[in-house]
Amino acid sequence: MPVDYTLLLQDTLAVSPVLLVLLTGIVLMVMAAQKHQSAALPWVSAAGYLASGVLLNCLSFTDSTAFSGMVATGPYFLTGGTMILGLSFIHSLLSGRLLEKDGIYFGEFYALQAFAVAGMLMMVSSGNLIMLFIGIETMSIPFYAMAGIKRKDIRSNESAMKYFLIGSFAAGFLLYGIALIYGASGTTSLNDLAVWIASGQAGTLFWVGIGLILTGFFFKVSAVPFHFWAPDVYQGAPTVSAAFLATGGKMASFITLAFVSFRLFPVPSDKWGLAVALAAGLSMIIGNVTALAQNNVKRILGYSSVAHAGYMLLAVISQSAEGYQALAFYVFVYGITTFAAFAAVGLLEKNGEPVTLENLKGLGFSHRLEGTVLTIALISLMGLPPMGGFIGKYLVFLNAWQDGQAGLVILGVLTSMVSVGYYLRIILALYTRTDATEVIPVPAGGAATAALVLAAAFILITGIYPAVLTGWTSLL
Amino acid sequence: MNHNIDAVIALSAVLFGLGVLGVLTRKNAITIFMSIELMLNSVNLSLVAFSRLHNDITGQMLVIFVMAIAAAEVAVGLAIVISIFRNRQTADVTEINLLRW
Repeated sequence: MPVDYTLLLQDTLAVSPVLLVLLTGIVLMVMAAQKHQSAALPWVSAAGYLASGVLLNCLSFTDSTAFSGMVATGPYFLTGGTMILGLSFIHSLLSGRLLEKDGIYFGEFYALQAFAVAGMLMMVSSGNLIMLFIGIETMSIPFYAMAGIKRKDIRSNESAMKYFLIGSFAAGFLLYGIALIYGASGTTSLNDLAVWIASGQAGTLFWVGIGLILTGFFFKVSAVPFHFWAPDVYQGAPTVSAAFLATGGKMASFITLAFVSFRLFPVPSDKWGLAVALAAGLSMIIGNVTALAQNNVKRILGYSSVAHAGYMLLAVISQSAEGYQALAFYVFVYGITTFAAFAAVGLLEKNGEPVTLENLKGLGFSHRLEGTVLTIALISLMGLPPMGGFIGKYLVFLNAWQDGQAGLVILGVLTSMVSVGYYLRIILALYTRTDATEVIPVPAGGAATAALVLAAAFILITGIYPAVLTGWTSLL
Repeated sequence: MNHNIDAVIALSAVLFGLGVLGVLTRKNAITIFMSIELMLNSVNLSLVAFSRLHNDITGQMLVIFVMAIAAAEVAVGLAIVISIFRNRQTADVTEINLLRW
């Protein structure tokens, strides 16, 4: 059979942002093998993500497919890809400083991150359940290694092992779900599946498959009852890795979940909605209440990520365009906010000591920039104006309210109030004067400062002038 | 013909269940890991059976990908278990419990 080179070229162009990130990863890996070049690594990866993001936004994306329907190059790829690449860009500005501070001299970190980003881009552009599975695994496998990159540290080891065992366990469920759906319908293409579901042939086998796929997703987004790994992993992993696992993974998983939901259920399905609603309600309650009892800041952020997974799932229940738009807004702001929080914590932490509330005491006075950024991020996580987190929560609650989920919205507002309690404890600790000897601040360095300022500016701008994001999420 | 496929699918479901049971009850990281591999391979079995049922190649294609991904997972997973064993001299997950509230 002759090869259609024009088609091949078109398809390659459609996935070129992914290929560019993969290429960056390979270049980084080769560079990391020659240790002396390690100062250039963060810049190469930042340039790679920036170029890929620009390329992604230059391609004109109508809702179409490439590679015989394997890749879906629609607005979801554009929106999801841009937020993932934006996050990766500011993360690579910061990572040099944090890796040095943690004593991790492995240049491979950047290559692992680039491969994980390529996996995330494959997830948000998957037009087929096979691509979905490959994307999720391409993201997750580097994640396991990133969590355990501090080889001599037993906490890092433990977090990597827990993440690995639970992550691959979840992958098993996801895969079995895909197999059952394939068994029921005879196809793994999302478009063909939508047609097949609309024809009304979906039986028990299919719904069991959907349940297993949702289980896999709930593991990935750390929703209750599959959340127990998240606090352990975020606490034990080096902060530089946690800042990426907790944010990038969540962005990619939620945009993919929204895309799968959008494709498979153009007509809202009660079963899908009910399963999501249950997980959303439980996550909001358990995440927020358990966070109150924590003392380690990274662990609090871990439970906060469980709670926020609940708020984000709330937007999926309605299975409407407005819901997905609200979700995209929320997940973008949440990702950058959590990144800012982890980044500030990483710059404040003393090597080898856990970041407990006691250890943070008074640091807001000696480290003004980090303290301010952490405060801004925490206020945004509480969902108070004038931060982006407030607009995100407002959009999500509004959508759920219009969908008739009054009970869940009230629960969401109540649990948000509970969450003020634990976020406020961190801010109070930051600005409590202590008798301890004055801490001499270590300057964060230009690139890390830029990352913090960019993240804080993003949180404030999306809060004061949300139209910059809503205009763009309305593509979905 | 269909009767045989039902049997294969039932077998794969049983194997998957055994894998899940192994993950939930075993204490050694390597054994848990083997149980996860059992889960993945039971899915492969069902994918091949479904592929035969629908007379369609997609399922077998996915099996190849799953095997490649499982191999990558083994590489990373064993590296993690080895680094834990070097630092702690154990691979028992009940003893690896620094991170808890």
